[in-house]
Amino acid sequence: MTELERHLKETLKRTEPPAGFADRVAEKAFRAGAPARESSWWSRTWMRAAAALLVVVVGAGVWGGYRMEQRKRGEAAAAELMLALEITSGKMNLVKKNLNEGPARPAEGRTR
Amino acid sequence: MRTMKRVLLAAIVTLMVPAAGIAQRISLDAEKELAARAVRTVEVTLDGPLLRLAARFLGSQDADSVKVANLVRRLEGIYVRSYEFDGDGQYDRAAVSRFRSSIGTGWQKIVNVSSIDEENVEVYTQVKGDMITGLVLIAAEPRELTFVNIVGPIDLEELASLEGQFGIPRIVTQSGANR
Repeated sequence: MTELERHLKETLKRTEPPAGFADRVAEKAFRAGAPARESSWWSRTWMRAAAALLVVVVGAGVWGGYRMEQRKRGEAAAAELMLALEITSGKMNLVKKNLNEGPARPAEGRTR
Repeated sequence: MRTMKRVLLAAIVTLMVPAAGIAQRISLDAEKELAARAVRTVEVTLDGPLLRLAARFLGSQDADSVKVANLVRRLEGIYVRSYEFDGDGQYDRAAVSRFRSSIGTGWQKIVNVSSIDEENVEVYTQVKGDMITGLVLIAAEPRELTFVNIVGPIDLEELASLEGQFGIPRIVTQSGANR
């Protein structure tokens, strides 16, 4: 056995812990664990609040987007409607002008 | 056997109800070559829900818009196809005949303005009781061809009240009396 081996054996030999060591470790672990459990409760609450907030924000965003899309569609449809009415009324005016002024032929009144 | 008769009767009634109710929509999409030749094409297709949405946006602007919105709210659809050409007679007049022939039964021609070299305008309506439930307009001008189909109850009093505002005149019937 060399000097190094002997030194290692001496260093790594099994020794009994001092009296009360296990209790002290358990107590420290308990102390360390208690605040951790408390912060976990808080973090869960915060997580829930954050999740609820996220749902509200995302929901509001989606609703806002939908409203904006509806508004765009509505405005486009209103513009199309006005165009359609303008064209229709323009042609009806043409009819009116011809009936009032021109040598218009009377309607045939036939039923198709 | 009795069940089969009932099913058949239900099917017939189901098929007849729309025909008896609101005027039918005339197909305006057959004339693709018109759009290809035209220098300007206007295609408006406003079905029920979109029409009501438009009316909602129109209804909040001013009193006249409210009037138009009220008129439009009961309609089932407004369909317009207008083709503008850069020269006289650049479209096939047979397109008018084809469109005219697609107008089904129950439509009455109330106005016919005819001229050799100017505009030709025809107005057809579908009437149920005292209510006009549909309007078809064909305007064939030298450089412009327009088809309009309005589906749904059109109150002529309301339509007449728009006169001047949107240039919509009173519809003159065969007898020349305002309706």
